[in-house]
Amino acid sequence: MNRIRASTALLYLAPALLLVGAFYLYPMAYTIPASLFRWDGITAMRWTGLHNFTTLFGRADFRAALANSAIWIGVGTLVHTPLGLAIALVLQRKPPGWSFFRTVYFLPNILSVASLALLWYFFLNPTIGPVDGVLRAIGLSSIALAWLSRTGSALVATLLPFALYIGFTMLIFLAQLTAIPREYYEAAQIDGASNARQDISITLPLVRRAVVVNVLFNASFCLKMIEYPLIMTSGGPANATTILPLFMYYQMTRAREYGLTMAAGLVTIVFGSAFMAIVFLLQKTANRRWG
Amino acid sequence: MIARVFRWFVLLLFLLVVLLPLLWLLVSSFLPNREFFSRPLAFTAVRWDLGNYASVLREQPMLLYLLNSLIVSVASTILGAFVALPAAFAFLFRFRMRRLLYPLLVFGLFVPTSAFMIPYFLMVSRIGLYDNLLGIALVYAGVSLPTAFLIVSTHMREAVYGEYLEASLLDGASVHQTFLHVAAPLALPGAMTACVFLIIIGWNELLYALLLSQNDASRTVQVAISFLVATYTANFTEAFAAMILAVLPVVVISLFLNRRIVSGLGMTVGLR
Repeated sequence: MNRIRASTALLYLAPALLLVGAFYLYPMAYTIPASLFRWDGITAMRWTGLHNFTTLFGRADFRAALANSAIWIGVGTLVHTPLGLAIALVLQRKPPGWSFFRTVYFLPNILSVASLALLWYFFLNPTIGPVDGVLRAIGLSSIALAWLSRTGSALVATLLPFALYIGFTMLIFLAQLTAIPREYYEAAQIDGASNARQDISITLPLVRRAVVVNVLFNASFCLKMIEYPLIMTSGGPANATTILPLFMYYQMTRAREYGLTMAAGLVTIVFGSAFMAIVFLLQKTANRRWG
Repeated sequence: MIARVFRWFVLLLFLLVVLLPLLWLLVSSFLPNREFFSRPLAFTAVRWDLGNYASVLREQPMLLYLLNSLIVSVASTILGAFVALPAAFAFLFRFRMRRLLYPLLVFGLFVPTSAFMIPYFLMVSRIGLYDNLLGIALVYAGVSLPTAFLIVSTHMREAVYGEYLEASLLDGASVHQTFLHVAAPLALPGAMTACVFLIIIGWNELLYALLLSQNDASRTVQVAISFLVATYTANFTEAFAAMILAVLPVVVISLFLNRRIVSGLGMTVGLR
């Protein structure tokens, strides 16, 4: 590889470093001390030490947001990742129409989350939604009532459209699957290994990286997204569907608790980092096992 | 045999989950509201009445919102691409601090930027761009820079061989000439892929548009969508028409560039 002077390189990197500094490093540096103050964004900031953090963990709505965010990440990791891999394995054998399936499955990822959230809000609506309409028509009206407004079902209802993003998971897996040399499978075929056996012994160990990428993208989506609970339920009923970004959004715009919002932001970042650390640790263990 | 039936069952089931709500939305968006209420399953009444679309465009500044979204997504994309391209070029070379700077540019991919909504809001307000499309575009460009850099950078590594750079430098071209006349033209297809991604991301974003705009003049179509439940408490099929208008441009883009999006994604995350 050719070599250039660091000063020349920095010239080319300067605009990018400026943006990263302004939108990642500075906000981080600002948030840490600012989370120790009480502030409404207008009057003077008041030093409160760690009070914002003790307040947060003492509040039921924040604990609900934290728990629900963990559930979102858990579903993305433990449900969507295996399902995405399963679909990728089926499509990888190129059944008739595989290209059509791939296109349609990926479609939700390019549609705005806001419009999909609104669509599912209507789709699950008790008066006009076809889901409840069908349930009533086949005599199951007992479960056909107001999915989004009952504490028992609201979280599941907001999680339902999350399944649409399995198409992204699938695509990441497909990219890695096509990189596995065909000879591995041919050799296994000659040795008499079944399809399932080949998937477990050859494919699974070789898609580890795609698993990690998927799990991290999923978690990062869950910690940034506000649309589904915001539009479908406003986080209710009784905080049943609230998640960390939505909690912060309401604390900033409705309660005008800027210090508290930034404290919640720090907790979100620590939470995300801890999750990432665990994933990397597991990957390291897996690498040692499979070399 | 059972395995095969099960495979097709899974494929078709997921197809229904994705397509059924979208088809329901599309079909219902053509129905007059009264007719929609009399048969909520909608699929029984397919017709192509553009009445809802006409009244949405008449009663709401929908065209303005769509135009705002276009301006924000294109402006942020241009800024992002112009910043990412030279940065990706630098990483075709070895230089001091290279191993430190690369992670600095990509670590943002996994940072939950929702945590920064207050700093972003304060920064944009301070430079006088609150309630201004440029403020929103600037935040989009900054937040999605890691994505833009990663896409451009992976495509550049594939397209620009070290030998090209070496030959150019040996022929007496300066590093800057090499960038302008060798690397940038070769990296153009990759840069275009990045642009497609960035435009889609910008078109679809909600949170920062919600925080940074106040009036119609700076309201994007996604913000308008998020207010639809309140605006159309009873006239659902008009809301449906507005939703179709909001997703249509992206669907059209993806129909043309589906292959590029699909292959770009796998390459970007370094799996191909």
